[in-house]
Amino acid sequence: VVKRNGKDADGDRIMMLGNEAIARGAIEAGVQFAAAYPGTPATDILETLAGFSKEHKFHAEWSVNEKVAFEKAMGVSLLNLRAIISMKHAGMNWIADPLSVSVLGGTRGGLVIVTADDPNCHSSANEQDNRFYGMFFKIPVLEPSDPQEAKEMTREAFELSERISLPVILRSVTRVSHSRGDVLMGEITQKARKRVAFEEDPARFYLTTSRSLSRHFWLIQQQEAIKKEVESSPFNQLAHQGEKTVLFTSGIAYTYVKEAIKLLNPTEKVGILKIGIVYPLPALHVKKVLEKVDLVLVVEEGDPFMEMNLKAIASELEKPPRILGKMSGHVRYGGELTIDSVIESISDLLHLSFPTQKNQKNIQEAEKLIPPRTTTFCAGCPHSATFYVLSKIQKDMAKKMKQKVVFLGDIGCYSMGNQPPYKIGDVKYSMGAGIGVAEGIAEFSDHKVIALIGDGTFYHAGFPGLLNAVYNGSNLTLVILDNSITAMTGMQPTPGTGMTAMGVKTTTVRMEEIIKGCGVEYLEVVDSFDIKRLEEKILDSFEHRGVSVVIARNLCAIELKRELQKAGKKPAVYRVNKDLCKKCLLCLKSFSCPAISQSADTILIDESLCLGCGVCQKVCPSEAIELSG
Amino acid sequence: MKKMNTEINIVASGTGGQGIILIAQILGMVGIKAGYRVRIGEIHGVSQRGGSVVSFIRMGEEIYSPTFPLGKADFMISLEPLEALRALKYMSPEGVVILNTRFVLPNTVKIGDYACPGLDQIIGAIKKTTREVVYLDATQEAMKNGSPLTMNMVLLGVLAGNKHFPIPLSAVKEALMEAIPKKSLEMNLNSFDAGVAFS
Repeated sequence: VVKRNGKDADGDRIMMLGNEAIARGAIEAGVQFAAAYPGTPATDILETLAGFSKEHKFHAEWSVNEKVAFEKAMGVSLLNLRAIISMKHAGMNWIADPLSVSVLGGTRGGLVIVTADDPNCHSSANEQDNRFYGMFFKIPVLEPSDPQEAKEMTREAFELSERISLPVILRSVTRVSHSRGDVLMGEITQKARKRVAFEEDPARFYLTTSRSLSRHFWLIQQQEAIKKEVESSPFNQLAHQGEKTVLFTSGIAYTYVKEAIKLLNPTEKVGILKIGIVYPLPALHVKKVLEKVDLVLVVEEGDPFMEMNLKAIASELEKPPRILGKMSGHVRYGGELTIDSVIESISDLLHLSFPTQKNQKNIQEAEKLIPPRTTTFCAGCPHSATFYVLSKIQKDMAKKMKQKVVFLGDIGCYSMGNQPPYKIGDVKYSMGAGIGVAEGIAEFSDHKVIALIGDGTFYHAGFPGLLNAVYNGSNLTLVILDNSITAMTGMQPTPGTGMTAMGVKTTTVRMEEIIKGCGVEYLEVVDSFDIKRLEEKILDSFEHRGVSVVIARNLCAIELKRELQKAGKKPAVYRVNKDLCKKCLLCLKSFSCPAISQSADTILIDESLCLGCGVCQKVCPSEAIELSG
Repeated sequence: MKKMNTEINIVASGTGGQGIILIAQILGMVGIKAGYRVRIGEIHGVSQRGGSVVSFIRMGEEIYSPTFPLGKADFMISLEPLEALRALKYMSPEGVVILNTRFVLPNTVKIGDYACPGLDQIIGAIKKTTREVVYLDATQEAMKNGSPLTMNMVLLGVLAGNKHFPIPLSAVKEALMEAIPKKSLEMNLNSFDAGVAFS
């Protein structure tokens, strides 16, 4: 089942991922520019758009980071063209700076900012409710509940943006972005890709002190236009037949509420108000509803965002109803909502009982058998080799020098280096943060400090930190785990690959040149699989005062596998010589490759998984691992 | 097409890269062709690095959410025995579990930190919670048809052939033929048919 967005005709009903539906909505709206930086759960939006960019004649790109993606989209909007940028929730933090000022000037062509939040941290370092950014910067936030609505809202967001001359935020969550559903296709508007002239208006766009102040008054005034839009939006379903209790909900939480009511089937009628534009709330309509009811339960995914805003609206009423939700402890707060948690909230509220299934006790017994399953590096992953070396250095330094090496992690596959058996990683925050934190620790401690970063993250956010380390005289080692691709999010190109999102060859930006340009004197590039040399160079760097950089470079195993398949080649794989193997288990317990396992009497290498990196052979103290065949 | 009561809920479980998403997509297409609302809930990202993967497949007249509550799955397709246990909480007492007996051992077992339960123990534990367990070495079966990668199609065949599964076999086969590129269709179809024969 391929991503068929652009191909399907008006009126077709096809199954789509929420993210594909967002892409389709943008294509239907005649988008002319799309940009993103990869990040789960948003990556598929730009991937889908890039796949259809040639057919529908628009430009799609993986930008170096979200901030640049937004700034470029803003430039496109100023030419009165339509632009969309998409990111995981963390990306919003990057665009906050340019967004904060650019809303004062406003937009020309429709500009849609898609944020895919990740409640429950399925693939993120934090939970963050980006609806607050709408309130923070005074721009509307739309929140779809399913793929169909994701498509409709994306399409409408462009129109809305153009009517109010401001960017519009579309807030998805993992369970919308990564859910599939049947979607009815709409008509595709194709806008011509043309050269246009920039129309000057510095009073609006060249934002200096006094102009910024006057434009802030414009933005405040513009809220009236937004309120009017919201009151009449078809995405807000406020129909409600005078019940005394209402469930106030939006987005994915709405689908849980509907399922919960279906299962609970309460005798007392309960109203459901579904909000599509979650910021600002349609205050006039909402007041009319609140006047008639006694009790409101706010069910929303993320923080109690609507709950707070609803309480502010209710405070203007003579007799406000009781408003319950996450703030009052009536709805699960933290992690993600589930149908089960919503059933619990509603049944508590209505004093209903909902029996659990009779097999749940036996299931709990069965669950006691399950060993935990952690994610692992792939067989043939260059990071496994690097972490084996780092782990060895850590142990040796502790033993011989009685010294702890402090390791700063970063965002990417190599975040998994903190798992057994390597256990490398003391601190990990956000994109590129490792180097900066390393500088702080190096400044006031005598530890050897190693910051780790991948190639994708280095290009995204790494080099300002590196520049600062050189400029301010830090004493640390930066190990760049360069697998020459953005692997964690599914093989997107980086500036180092010489390829764009649209599959066009481009300049290859070599990280060595950036590093040297930052003034780094100690720079070594090592093949990740040459573990002896990698260890030497890292230990060497400890002797060098100042900033040292060691690049551990070899291709991502998934990418290698694809390249081998394409070329019709098979890797030279390894096997264990039973006669020589002393079963010390070093290959299993210190190196830990998914292709290596232990059976009753021997160690086995799964030849269907082995990619022939040969690191296990180098690790083996008994010379018991040899090339097969 | 047999008339469904209200909805069918299926949970598919396994580890990253085993082909759960394809099973979900084919079943979703089956639902759409039958004129039902379809919702599939899945998680991407970290789960691709050999982690646990679970997918929810739902079809029926009135479906809203991409997930379903605990204890509500009518069917489970599990591509790995330990992952069947992990997803068991979603199974209804009246449900059917279809299980590949081939283990993908977690790292925690390989390095000796945790013990792994035996297959009999797992099947016994599942039997106590649900109506029927159908198990086979689907990987072995798939290898007979040319590639262990079509193991997911063997299990899909077992599901489609199960007497409790309310959708005609032909509808599943039709969706499969549409979903899989011509190049690898024959191999996948053979594995599917092997699954049907086993059921």
